[in-house]
Amino acid sequence: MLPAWVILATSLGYLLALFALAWYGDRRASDPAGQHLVSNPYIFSLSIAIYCTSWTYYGSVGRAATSGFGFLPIYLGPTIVFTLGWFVLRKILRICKTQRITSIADFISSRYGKSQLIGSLVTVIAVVGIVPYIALQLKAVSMSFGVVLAKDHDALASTLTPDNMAFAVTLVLAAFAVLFGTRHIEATEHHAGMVVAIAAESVVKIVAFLAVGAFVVWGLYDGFGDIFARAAADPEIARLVSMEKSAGNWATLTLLSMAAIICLPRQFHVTFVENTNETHLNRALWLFPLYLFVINIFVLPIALGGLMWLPKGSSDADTFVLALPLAENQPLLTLVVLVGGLSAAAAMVIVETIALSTMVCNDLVMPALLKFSRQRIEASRDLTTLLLNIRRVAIVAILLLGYWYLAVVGNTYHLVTIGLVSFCAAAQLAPAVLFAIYWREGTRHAAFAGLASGFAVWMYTLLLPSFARSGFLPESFITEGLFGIALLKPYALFGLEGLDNISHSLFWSMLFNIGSFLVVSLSQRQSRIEQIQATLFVEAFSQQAPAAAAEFALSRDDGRASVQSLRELATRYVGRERAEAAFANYARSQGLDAGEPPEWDSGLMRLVERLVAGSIGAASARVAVASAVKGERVSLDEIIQILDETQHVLEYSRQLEEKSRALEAASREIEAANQQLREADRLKDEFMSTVSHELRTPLTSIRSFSEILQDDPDMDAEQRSAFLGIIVSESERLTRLINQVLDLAKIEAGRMQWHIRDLDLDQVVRDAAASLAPIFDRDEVEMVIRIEPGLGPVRADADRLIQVIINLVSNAEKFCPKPGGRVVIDVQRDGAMARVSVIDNGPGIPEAEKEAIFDKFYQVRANNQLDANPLGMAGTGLGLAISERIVTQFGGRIWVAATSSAGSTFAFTVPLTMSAGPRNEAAHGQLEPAGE
Amino acid sequence: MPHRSIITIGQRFAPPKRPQRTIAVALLAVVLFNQPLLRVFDHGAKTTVFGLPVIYVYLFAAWALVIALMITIVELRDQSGGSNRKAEDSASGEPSRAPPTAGE
Repeated sequence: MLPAWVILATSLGYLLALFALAWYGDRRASDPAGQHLVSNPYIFSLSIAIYCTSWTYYGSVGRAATSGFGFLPIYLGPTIVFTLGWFVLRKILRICKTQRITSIADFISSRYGKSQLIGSLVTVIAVVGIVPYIALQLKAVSMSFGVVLAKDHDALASTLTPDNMAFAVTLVLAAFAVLFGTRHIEATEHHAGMVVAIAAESVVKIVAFLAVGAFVVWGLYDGFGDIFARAAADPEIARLVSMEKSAGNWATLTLLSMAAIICLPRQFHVTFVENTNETHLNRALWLFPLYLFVINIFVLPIALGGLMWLPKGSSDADTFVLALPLAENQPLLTLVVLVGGLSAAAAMVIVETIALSTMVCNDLVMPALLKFSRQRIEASRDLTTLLLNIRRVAIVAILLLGYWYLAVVGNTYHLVTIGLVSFCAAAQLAPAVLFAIYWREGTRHAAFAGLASGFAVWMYTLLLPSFARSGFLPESFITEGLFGIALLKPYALFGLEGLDNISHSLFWSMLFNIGSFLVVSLSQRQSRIEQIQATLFVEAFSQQAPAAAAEFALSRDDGRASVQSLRELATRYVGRERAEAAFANYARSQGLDAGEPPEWDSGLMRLVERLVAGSIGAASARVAVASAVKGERVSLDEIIQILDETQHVLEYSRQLEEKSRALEAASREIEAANQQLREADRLKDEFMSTVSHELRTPLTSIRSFSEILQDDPDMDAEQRSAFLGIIVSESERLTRLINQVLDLAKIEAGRMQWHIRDLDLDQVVRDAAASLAPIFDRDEVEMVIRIEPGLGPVRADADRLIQVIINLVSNAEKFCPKPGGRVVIDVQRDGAMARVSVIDNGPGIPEAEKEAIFDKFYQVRANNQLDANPLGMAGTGLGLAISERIVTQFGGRIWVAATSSAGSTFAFTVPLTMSAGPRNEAAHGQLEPAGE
Repeated sequence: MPHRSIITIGQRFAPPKRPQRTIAVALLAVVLFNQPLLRVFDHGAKTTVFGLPVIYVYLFAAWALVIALMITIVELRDQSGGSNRKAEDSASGEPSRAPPTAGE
């Protein structure tokens, strides 16, 4: 056998490895990428397997060796509960998430009116009830070490007496529990790393157990058949392979384990509090029962094998899993089994004490502190250290209590018996939990009565007698009852005999527990906060739960005044007849006699709301009804709690609102852009139709005159030359138009190539004038050019500038009387620009049209004032538009400077080159244009 | 990925088809695992099937059956996750609560 120090080192090393795993798990949990590894259905299901403690590991075999299948029911119970898991477990889980529950005490107290008293009571029941369970673990571990080390005779081993061993184990586990669970305060009570660690240890547990099982079945014997055959051969042992010894409390154990799988603090913690994702539950529904299934296959064979293989009475059956490999000199296997058992016990102790210490801190100590030394608490800035220390103290205290119980009671009983005492205590919480989620009417006082009476009966029928058996209390307590009253015999209360202790206790405790719960509930009314909480719990799956609960918060108990004000409200908005009819209807539906007013309830509120909404709209109706029904002072706390849930909804709706506003703005922009596009489209269409008209007109002339010439070869020369002249001039006109349209298009599309450079304005004007000279001569119109000397160069495109000047001057010439017309081209400085004015002595332009004439295709047509011009307009209508765009491009301006019946003045400006000379500055504040 | 919210919006998980069937499985388990049927199969150590005592085989076989049924119900899910997500809660088997009406 391995030396003692190897065994101890391995054990300690294993615990440290688990801790390291927990630490690593915490790290991965806080990193979003690693979450998947740490939080998944498999880890979750395996963490629930913490249900299998050293009770399963050692105790099951011990139980099987005395009662055959009696070890099994406590695993069938959880299987049944998990088949109902989709409804029951999921509901509890949902409630825990939405109400942010951190423990079973929190759960029960929250449901029953957030009562701190109930929270404290649940904590006390949990702590007192679990102490035996912890004692069981300590016993198992120290027992296992005792067995393994007994073979060793070195100095180390001999110092470790059973008592020392147990104490050492207690301290070591306390240390680890403190390390695992009280490194920091986490508001959600999540310990992701710890969950990973216990999932891992569930694997270690089952592997080790299967290993020893396989060893016994195929190592020591020849398979299952062999073991059972040999067992059948021994009459004593054969009786174990039947229901004979286990039928008695089969149903009791099944029921107990069904309660325990939910109500044991550690189970509640890992299943509902540590859970991070509701969907993980679904896989656990079958994975956990499967785990239980696998770990139990070998239990009976091992028990039978142990009974047959080992010398009778040499070993406690609880230790068969160790004794067998030990006896067969399998040091490695023995070590593995030992570590497996240690693992099972350690995980239970750690998680259980953490869960219990949380409850002690939150539901027992802190409320007391707040009540008795509130000022000191509120004055301190940092409570976390205080909270952590309370928890650490609680952990150590609970473990010491466990050790004490073990010392006093433990050696009298088998492991499983001790464990069942704890199960029965945990079961006292089950009615409160089930009523919490399924029965709305359960009241706070009822819960307290049920829990208290159940706990008291449990203590009387199971806990105290266990002390008596061990000598702590007098034996007469059991044999003769309290004060000698036979009816108060703890194992045969009120004369009920014939049941085993556990069943007996379960029966009476449940009777008092459930009984008082029902009786007190039915004779009481709930307070407002209880109603709210009841709604939130029982209707946890409904989306309307928070709203319905809020309604309770805003509603009144004493209804008569409210009914009256509601009636007045309804009358005001829908008239007396309709209001009365509706109220009478409602009263009838409540089962009241005709003529009686309806009783107040939330349905009446909704009815009036609907009625009134028809007149003033739903939102206003709500406000009107709410103000009519004045609520009592409801604590901000309660409202916040309810509204907390609706926060999500509000958040969503706010985001939706934002999005819809953005959408609205966007669609308005689109509409505006659409408008612009339509307008531009219309302008384009207008332009296109005008252009095509303008193109067609000269084309038509050209065609018709050409046709005439073609048809009539005998036309006289004079007429022919006249017609040809028209054709030529119309062609020229057409060419001009097309060029202008193209120019305009190019300028507007920004594709015109501008060659801007310094120009001598004098030269430009004279060039333009020269090209127009023939027309002036022909029409006998005088042209005068006046240029201010010393102007300096201008920045412009030469050809385009000429185009503008020619446009203006030829326009002027067209308007002049012929003969007798006079056009003056006047060039002057105007600040930083050169101003070119073209003055004619024509009929002038109507005041209203001074700006419009720069529009495309605008032509001053048949107009009274044009009677003087027999030729009318022969232009294209585009000239001024193009000129305007050209001048704008240069950075100048073009406008009608003056107009009267004596003539018009067109003017445009073009920027002077900024050359040397102070007088070139923008003296008038004119913005120097960009130019290019 | 797994976030701390409870409502499974955005999750690709779809709930089991007709989870009400788990109630039937629960009832079956209660019947299979309890006294009357157990007594029927309890023939002691001597009567064997496949070399194993009947009662032993029965207990574990019944247990395996219950687990297998749970696997088929839970793991065989509706693939159309979308339509069922909305129905997830109404399929919870709660006596379907219609919006509260007057006179409730």
